[in-house]
Amino acid sequence: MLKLWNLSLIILTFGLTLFGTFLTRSGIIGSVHAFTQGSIGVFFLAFLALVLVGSFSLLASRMERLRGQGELDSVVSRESAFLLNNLLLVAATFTVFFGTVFPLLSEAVRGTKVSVGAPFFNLVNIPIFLGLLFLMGVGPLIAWRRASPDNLRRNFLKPVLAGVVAAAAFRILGVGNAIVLTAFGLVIFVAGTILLDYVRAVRARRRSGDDWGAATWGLLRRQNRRYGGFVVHLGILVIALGVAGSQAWSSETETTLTKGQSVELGGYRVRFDGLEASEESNHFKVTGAFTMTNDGRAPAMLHPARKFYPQEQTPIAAVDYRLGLMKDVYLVLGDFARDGSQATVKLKINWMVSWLWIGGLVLTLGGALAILPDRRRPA
Amino acid sequence: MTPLLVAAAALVLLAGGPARAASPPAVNEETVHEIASQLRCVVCQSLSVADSPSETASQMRGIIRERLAAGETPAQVRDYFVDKYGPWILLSPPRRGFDLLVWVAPFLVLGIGLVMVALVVRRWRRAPSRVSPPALDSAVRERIRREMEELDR
Amino acid sequence: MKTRWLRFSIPLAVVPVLLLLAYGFWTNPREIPSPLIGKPAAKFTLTSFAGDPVSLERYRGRVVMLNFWASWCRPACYEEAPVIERTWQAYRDKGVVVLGVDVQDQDEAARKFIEQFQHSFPNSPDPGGHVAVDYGVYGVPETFFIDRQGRVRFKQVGELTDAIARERLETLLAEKP
Repeated sequence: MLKLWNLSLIILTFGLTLFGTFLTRSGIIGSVHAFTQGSIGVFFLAFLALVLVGSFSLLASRMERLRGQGELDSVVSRESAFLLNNLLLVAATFTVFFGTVFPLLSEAVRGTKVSVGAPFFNLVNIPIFLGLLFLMGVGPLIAWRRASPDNLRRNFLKPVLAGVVAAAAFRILGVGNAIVLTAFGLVIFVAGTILLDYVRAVRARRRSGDDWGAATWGLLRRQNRRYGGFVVHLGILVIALGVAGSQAWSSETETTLTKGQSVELGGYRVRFDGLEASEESNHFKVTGAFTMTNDGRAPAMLHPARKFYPQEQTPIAAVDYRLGLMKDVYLVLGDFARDGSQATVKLKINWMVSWLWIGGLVLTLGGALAILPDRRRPA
Repeated sequence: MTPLLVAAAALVLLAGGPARAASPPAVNEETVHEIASQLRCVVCQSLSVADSPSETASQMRGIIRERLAAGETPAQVRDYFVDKYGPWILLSPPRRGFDLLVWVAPFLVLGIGLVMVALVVRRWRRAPSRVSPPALDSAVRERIRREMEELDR
Repeated sequence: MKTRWLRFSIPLAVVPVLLLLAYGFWTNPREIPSPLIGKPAAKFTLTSFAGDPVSLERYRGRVVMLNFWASWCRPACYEEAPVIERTWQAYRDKGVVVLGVDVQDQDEAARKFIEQFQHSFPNSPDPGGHVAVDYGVYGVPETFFIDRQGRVRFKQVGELTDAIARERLETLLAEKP
């Protein structure tokens, strides 16, 4: 099914990668990577035009040979979920594309320059990605062709309940943001579906005498595509939690401290101890000494610096930080008084960033598992 | 050695930006950060004033702080910057007039897409099964029956 | 058969996007049109490097050329600095005032700059960047031409030349006070 759509997406993907390169290199939007002079932009655009118009024309002229036919019996089926999945991803793509091109469009149509930046993309893409999260839980378990009410109940009732309860629990714990709550609820829902499938599959294997460990191992090896896929989904869930937590709880502050003075944020206290100047091989460095304490733990010494290169007009900041499982703390040194009596600092506490890395690792492992060659039991 | 010391001295002097005067009445730093994150830094491409390390951004944050301390609302502070730099200074276009298009278009596409998905689903539902399943020989059928029984136990 | 041409609507649909991108070659992403043109110039009071107060209001009734610069701005500010001094000398008796504002700079470097080009018009530092933001300055050098009624009339982004300065000032001087 969907051969025409499949090919269209492939052509579009290649076209969009060319488009992305074109945008940064042609100088059409301001970028540090743009080639300032020369006609490479024109050549690139011509190439992009050739690829897109040419490929789509070819597709259009061969359309009959690609007409496949999908079949299903009900709107509620895996095929439908798959289509919705497609739709959401394409909508997200369109959002990013249109937002990127809009300033140009605005200028062309009415001569006014506007900016479309991070706040727009975050705002519009969030509902789409929450939808994708939901489908991630539904897709692997819903039946092909037609999902009966029984099938739906068996597969989704408990995870849905778990998700709702989790969201309520977080609400009680103090999370107020509706989007973050929805994200947490959906993560628990999807985790619930994965757990349910896994438990059922292991139970089935146990009937042939395996214990939990052997059963799990057997699943991972025999059905490595399915369970590798689940591991990938788990990785995405960890990432989603990291993003949601980071949005919900991260904080920062900027303040000027005199020597001995402290700033407090989120349970951390940072005291300004002094400044030190040093001459390095190709720059001049001013390093700040700060003592950070956190609710009784051993104090940490932080040394953010400002580096002055003779050729640069603005100094380069060297941030000091402490990373943790739940929180990363960053300290940036800003302006300071010549005599070292005062310094302006920016203190940032970023929550759950490590989860993004861990989730990425899990995702990669799942992917590796999924692409392992099949091991079939000899018939 | 001397030129190096002179250079070092010059650079130390470069570092001595105006030390901040006694701080104005306490302004909610979070509000400053929120407004700053909606404004575009004019020197660094597409970074917000909150995230930009540049001197200009630092000065703009200071101006935001001062205006809030003087009693202005966040909307007034934003309007001030728009008056001086134009609508370009906002990282998100206002939801008025032509700019409404960029906010609405993604959901419009989503809506149109949903309609198209519905049409496709409808077409697939009506498609009759063309291929009938192949006939199974009795040995395979028996094996299937046995294994199904095992599963259901 | 009616639908045969319809299928080519997809490759054709790509064309408007390509045209839009081509249009992008003619625009400059770094050039922001100033919303201040035609509006009253923001008032300010600064203290010049010489220690005197410099206030825009004092010059109402004269044409004002307001130049934003910095000693680290190479090469543009260095190229236009003699132009500014020349313009000042040529027009100071014709009802024109030249004011310089130094942005994000250090005292020593700024004074050296002024001395190098022998600037004889008032130059002031802008602590906190208030005046720069008040004029929507996003880079240096930028020069504003303010008419006798105190309205911003022209903005020159980038290096100023003798010809441009002359043209702008003559236009504003020719207007009735």
